[in-house]
Amino acid sequence: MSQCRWVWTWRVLRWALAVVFVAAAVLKIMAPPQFVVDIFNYQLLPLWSLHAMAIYLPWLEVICGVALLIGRWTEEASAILGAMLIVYIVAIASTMVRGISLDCGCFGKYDTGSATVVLIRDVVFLMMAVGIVVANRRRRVTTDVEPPAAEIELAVG
Amino acid sequence: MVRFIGRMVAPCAVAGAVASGANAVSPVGISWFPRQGKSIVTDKALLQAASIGAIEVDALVNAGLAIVVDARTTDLYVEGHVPGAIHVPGQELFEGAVELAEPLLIMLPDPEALPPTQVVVYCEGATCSDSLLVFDYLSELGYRRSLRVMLDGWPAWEAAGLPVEEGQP
Repeated sequence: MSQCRWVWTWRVLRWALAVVFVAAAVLKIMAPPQFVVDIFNYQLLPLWSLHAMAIYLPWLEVICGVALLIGRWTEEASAILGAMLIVYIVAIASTMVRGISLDCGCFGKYDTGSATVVLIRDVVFLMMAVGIVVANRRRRVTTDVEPPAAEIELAVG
Repeated sequence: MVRFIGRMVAPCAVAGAVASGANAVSPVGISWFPRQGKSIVTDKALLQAASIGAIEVDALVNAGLAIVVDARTTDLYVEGHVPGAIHVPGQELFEGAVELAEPLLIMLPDPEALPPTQVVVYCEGATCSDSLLVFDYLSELGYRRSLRVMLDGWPAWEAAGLPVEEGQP
């Protein structure tokens, strides 16, 4: 794939993932108590940690989303969001195994899809995050390629 | 790889700083840790979802589908309580006297085997947190999905003219 196509792949994936995560985070920031309840319903974390998670996680999503939008810390932000998605996928899968029925809480009170739909959605987002890292490295590799020897001679001459 | 992981610290740290500041000034900000004596998990949204009225509790009791827990102090319990209610004082339980919950735990089967029976907790009303303390304790033991709170407490039961039992726990 040409450099131009890698650059545009990188940009589209960045912007799409950024919009998704910033939108999800804003909904959770507007209603912290509901997010506390949503985390609680997974029955995975101890009670003392629920508030801290509910305060911190949405802002981590915002910072990573903004980083992706402006094109700074893109690999780092993608890796963090990818790690969060892996945790979300494992958490949702565990509720399915344990027979717990709940709302994901990913998009606040607006997220009422079935666990299977949410799982598939998060896997897609994870692939996008991985795609950003891959596309970023590919576009950097293609920009670092040495020009052909003939061009160097012309430049020197 | 180590350097890459190290580079992830910066956005995480920025997020922490922004979260602290935003939560502090936000009108919907919450405490970083559950306030002593009260968990926001049993406040607001979840409390509303778990609340149940006195008339409903009476119906469940008559149908044999409720285990009622009185979370008030011993003297209030002795003065009058829901017939058959088990006494588990919430504040003492929270302060570490978990043995006070044993009479209740002996009656409770495993959380999976409990439904459709509901465990209904009450105290002195919406401003009383003792029922919330027992609610949190039982939630951590896995009974969350069968737990209900008679939000308006003992005053609502009395006001409805429902049966009263007196005496020692």
